[in-house]
Amino acid sequence: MGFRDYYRQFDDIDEAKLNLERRERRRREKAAALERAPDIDLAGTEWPDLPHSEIVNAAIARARGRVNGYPDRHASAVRRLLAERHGVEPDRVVLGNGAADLLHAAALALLSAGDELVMQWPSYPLYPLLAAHAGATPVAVESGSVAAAVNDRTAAVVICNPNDPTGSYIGSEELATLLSSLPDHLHVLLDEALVHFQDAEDVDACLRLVDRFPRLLVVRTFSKIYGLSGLRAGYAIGSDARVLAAAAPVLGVNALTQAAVEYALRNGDAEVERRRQAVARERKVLTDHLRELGVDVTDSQANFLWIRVRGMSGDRLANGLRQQGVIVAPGGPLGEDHHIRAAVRGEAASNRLLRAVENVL
Amino acid sequence: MRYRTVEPTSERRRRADALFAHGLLAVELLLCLSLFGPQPLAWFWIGSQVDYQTGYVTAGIGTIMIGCLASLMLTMALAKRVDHAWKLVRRAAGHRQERGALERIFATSVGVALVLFTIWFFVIQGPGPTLAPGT
Repeated sequence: MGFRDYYRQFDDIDEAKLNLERRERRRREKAAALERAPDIDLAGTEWPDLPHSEIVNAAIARARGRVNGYPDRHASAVRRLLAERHGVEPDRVVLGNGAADLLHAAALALLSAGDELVMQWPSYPLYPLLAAHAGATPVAVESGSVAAAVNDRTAAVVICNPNDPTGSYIGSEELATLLSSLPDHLHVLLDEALVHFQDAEDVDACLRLVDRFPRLLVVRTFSKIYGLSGLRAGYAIGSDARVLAAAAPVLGVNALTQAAVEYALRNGDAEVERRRQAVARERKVLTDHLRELGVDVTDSQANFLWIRVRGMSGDRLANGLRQQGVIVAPGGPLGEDHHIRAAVRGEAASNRLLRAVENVL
Repeated sequence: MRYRTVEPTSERRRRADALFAHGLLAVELLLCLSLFGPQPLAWFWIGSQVDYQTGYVTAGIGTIMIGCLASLMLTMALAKRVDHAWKLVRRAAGHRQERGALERIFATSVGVALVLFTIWFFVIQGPGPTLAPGT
């Protein structure tokens, strides 16, 4: 080491150079952190974030009250809010322990042994079970109109709208035409668990058909866009008092759930709208990017996409994505082997999914 | 200010660096002091020569002003380099030397120059004619 070099090693460190070194180190750390990123789960359809703390507080406040007594089994406050919201009488609204329970109870009331329950397919895997529990036969319609599958043994039709897992949406006019074409004795269970995610028309467009079609029962949930899956809350609106009474839980919904739902209905509209817009925006971006990659994606109106890669089974695609740290629902258990269902989340999740799909292709 | 922490060298080298640092500090002090005596005097002499050679007083005064200013800047640039070297040598000698000493040395040299000037003005040269009209 020369004379000057010896002293230069004691020189000041240039701040700009130091910052560059820091930024480079941070970039390396971030890259390493991304490589260590935990698996991202896009298999579920429930809302991924925790509910607003005030909703939880409402439930906790009720828990600190008189929980030794039974709750209001008619859930009067919640039903009144729902009735006002949808422009129906409160006695046409039933609050239940989740949409699935309401559908299950309604199916048990409507179906008997030997009856048939018609449904589009692929659709929500619970529907065939509903028929089986009632001793009826599920009739899955994979292509063509549901109305064509109706015969004199058909007791009810169940429609998921937007459909899980395809995300397809039947508009209110098309639905009205379908309902008009069905025999008068037939009941229709309209599962609108995902309806808040559609941006094709007004959120209540199909629900308003309960006035024109007395045998229509519309079921909704607080598990999806409201993000309250753990509280198990849903509601049904219809015109048939017998079906409504059958669908209602015998001793009502627990007091904590009623308190949380009531708070969410009173204060949650802005957040619901924000979530709806965020999903619609991200759904479009993700759909476009996936199609640019040559992937088949159905036009979804739900908070997930129904994806297919030609020449690849859904299981293989799901496994390939799993190896990239992205968990999706393979289509087999949902009714179609060649697809996968991937939830629409934020931009970061979309980027992870896109990168994983690119790597698998 | 940040600088690298270098593994300590031998004690002998450190002592030599400490001595070297003192030398550099002395150079800095001399450079600063030169601003208040030798350099102006030198430029006064040069200015008088210019005046004598050209016959223009203005040329002499201009030379003095420009020369003083130029040598001030050159001296400060040189002093700054010496100060930086002093800082590095101090660090090499094992001191946690974050800043240079030029500001303090400059201030000290101004103080010294002021004291010397005062002594020269009032004691050596003596009071002016209004105070002592007889001298």
